[in-house]
Amino acid sequence: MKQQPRHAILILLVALLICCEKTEDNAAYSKISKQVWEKRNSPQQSLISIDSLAIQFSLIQVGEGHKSFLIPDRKSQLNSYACSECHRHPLPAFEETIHKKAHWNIVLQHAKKSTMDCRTCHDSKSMNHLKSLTGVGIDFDRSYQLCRQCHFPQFKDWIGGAHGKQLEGWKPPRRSMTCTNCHSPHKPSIEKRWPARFNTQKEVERKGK
Amino acid sequence: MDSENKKWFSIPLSKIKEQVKASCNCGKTSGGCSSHQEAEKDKRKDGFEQIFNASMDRRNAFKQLSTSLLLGVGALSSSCSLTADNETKEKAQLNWEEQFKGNYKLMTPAEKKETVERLVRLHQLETASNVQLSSEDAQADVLFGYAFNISKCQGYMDCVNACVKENNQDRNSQMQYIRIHEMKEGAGFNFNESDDNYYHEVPAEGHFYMGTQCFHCENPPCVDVCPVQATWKEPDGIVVIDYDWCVGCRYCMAACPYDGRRFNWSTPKVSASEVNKKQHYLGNRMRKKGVMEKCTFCIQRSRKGMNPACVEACPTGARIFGNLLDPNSALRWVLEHKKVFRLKEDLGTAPKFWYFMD
Repeated sequence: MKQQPRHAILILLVALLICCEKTEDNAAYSKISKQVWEKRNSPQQSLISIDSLAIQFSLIQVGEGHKSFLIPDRKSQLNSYACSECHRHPLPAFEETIHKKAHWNIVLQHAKKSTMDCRTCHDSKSMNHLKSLTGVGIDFDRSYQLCRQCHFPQFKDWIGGAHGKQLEGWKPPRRSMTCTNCHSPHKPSIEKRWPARFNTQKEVERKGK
Repeated sequence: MDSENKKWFSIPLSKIKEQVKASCNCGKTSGGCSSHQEAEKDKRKDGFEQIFNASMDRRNAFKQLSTSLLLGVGALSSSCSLTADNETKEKAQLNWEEQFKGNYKLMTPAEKKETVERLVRLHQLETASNVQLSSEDAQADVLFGYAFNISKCQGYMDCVNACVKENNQDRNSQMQYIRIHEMKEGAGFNFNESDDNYYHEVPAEGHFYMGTQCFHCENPPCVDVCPVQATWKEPDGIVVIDYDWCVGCRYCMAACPYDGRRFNWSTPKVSASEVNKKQHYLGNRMRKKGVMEKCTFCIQRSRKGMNPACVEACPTGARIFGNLLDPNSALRWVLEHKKVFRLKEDLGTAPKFWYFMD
């Protein structure tokens, strides 16, 4: 009988701690997403560089053939992961309800409608996973396995090191950006922007005073 | 001069001299004639000795004596003056020592440390701010190389901004080591007709972008022409300049076929808040008026294992930096698997900067 209140207090404490952690996480996410949004809206920098955001991301090992290197993980950078927090039922069950209006901000501008729709990459039965063209599940952290199905020349260059920005330094182990760090999977083409610099002095010197 | 004993390169004039000596007026091949004594004079002289232990005739001795007297009086008046404060005296003392230091290339590690300490202290006295000045040497088994993807570069010029910021380049003259050339597709690499100072939305239709900077040639013509050996190639392949040894003759600027070098026509100005304080003696430390400077592959970063500022700033991943001696590096993969080329290959300069495309 005496031990019961102690247990209760312990459980309460643990619950409180979990709650605190959760809110801190949310704060971090919103901070990052705000930064991303600001960067995206600034005319000088339409591209988002992970270095400039100084996000502490964890690296995961990628091994293809005899090449092996590290890439940033993806799941921790997705604001709305895990998808199953909303998607408890398979996608067809959602279609007739009000939830159909979710993800209104995502417009697929990737390939022709005849080539792909949401379900080409997203697994409608298990929303926490992506899926290959043959229906094999792919983890969000390994989304490059999805891209390589069509973009195999780019994938080959990426594995070798000719495509994709190097992170941190030239010393081994190699660390590289993954596909989705630069290309939004829903709109992979990169927009035009203005150069970061214009040398007025050069202009004066060349045209003469 | 004993060719095995000396540390610097010189044109083999001694052989020509020997021939001349053999046919001098006295007709002898050794001794007896004053012209034969020259060979005995030659011995290795370094740093301080080059000035103070040089043999000379009476006329030269008087000349040098009077010059050093004048210099000495000047230094004395500031260092021993009763009116000048301690800081002024210390500054004069440090400047005096700096004046007589040797070429960085010939310095021992202890001498390097001393000059670095002097420069840091001088900077502190002049600007009341501290800098971290490094004299880190090249790492073993490292040879730096660079690859540039001309199909990835979009002409954003983020690299140029990062370079200027990192390397403390003069803001007044808007000096920049990197040039991004906007080139017309299908017209070849025509630098005369390309634009390196565009300002419109990029990438422009029907154009591609190509960056040039110092290529750190394996066989650098700029090093060969320097009359004072103020520029040389380091063991890790970086071509560097000793800003304190450079006399500003700009021979190297004329010799470089790639427009890699820049000259300080005026004292470089960087506002105190913008100065990058992580510096290297051979890299981004503050330059003086009348000396050459250029890209050093960000020696202060690359020798610490980091990428140069341009590589880190490029949002497209068009710039690849790495160790040519590491067979597993991304750079080596590019060189082995992509179609790479270098500029003006026929000159035999062997730049360590390759271009490639997807």
